[in-house]
Amino acid sequence: MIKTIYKRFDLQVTTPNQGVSKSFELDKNIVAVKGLYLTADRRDQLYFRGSQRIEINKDELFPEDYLSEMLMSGLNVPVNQRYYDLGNIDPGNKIVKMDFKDSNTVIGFFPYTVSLFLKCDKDDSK
Amino acid sequence: MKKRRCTVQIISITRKGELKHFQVRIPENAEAITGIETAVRMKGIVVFPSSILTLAFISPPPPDGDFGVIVPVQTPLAGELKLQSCEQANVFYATDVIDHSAQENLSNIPTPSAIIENVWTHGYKRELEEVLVDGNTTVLAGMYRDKMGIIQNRNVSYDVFLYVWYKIKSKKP
Repeated sequence: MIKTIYKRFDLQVTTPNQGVSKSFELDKNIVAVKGLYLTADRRDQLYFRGSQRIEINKDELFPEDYLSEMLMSGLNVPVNQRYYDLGNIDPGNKIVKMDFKDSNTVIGFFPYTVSLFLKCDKDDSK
Repeated sequence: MKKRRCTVQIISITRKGELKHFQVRIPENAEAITGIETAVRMKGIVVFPSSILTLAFISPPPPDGDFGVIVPVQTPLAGELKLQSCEQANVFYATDVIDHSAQENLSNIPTPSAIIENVWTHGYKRELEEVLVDGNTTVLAGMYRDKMGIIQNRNVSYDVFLYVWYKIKSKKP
């Protein structure tokens, strides 16, 4: 039976104006990735300073310099519509890679933690 | 299922009313251009709120020196953007580029018990604007004209991020 689950992956940004890369592994029984949502413990830092490249199964979903604000949703958005719709991505080797970049912009830097949420389909029979 | 890809073009603006022409290269394996997204990121140190107030008079100031009521007018408009395909589609996309953070913080009086509304806490989800343009063109010609600097009557520095989404051709067996 196919079930919808939500996975969370965190990435720490501790140095201003630098890139941080991290790979995450999905569960083996995940058969599709359907949505993506980005947030942080300091959302203003992510909104004004963040950009990232994201790939799943070595397939680029968002290119370098894709601003984090494009993947954020606020409290005004209904809960079930906050995720960026990815369609039905085959997770393949189950590796999700995020190359995050912090850039100096209009606000000063404070260390922050970026959280990547993925909406996935899980097949329990696998 | 056809895969989608995105190409990024960054347009840097530094002068009031600056006009920039640019080209966006479209890969050969693009079948059709399917969506456009834009974003603005200000440069330099700006004290919150990130937008600069433009002061406007409700009516012209009287000669006796009484300036009357001054109303802050917020200017989220950054500039205008046009994209042109080299094929038959010609100018297929035109929009006003908006700085979404410019509307924030000003109409909300902070109180100890209330959450202050900001674009990063209460903002809407961004969605791409759908277009359907033949992907045979190898390059898009673009034009961006600054309006923020004209409205504020000073040089402003910011980057405009243009994202062009396209479908790629499936490989032949």
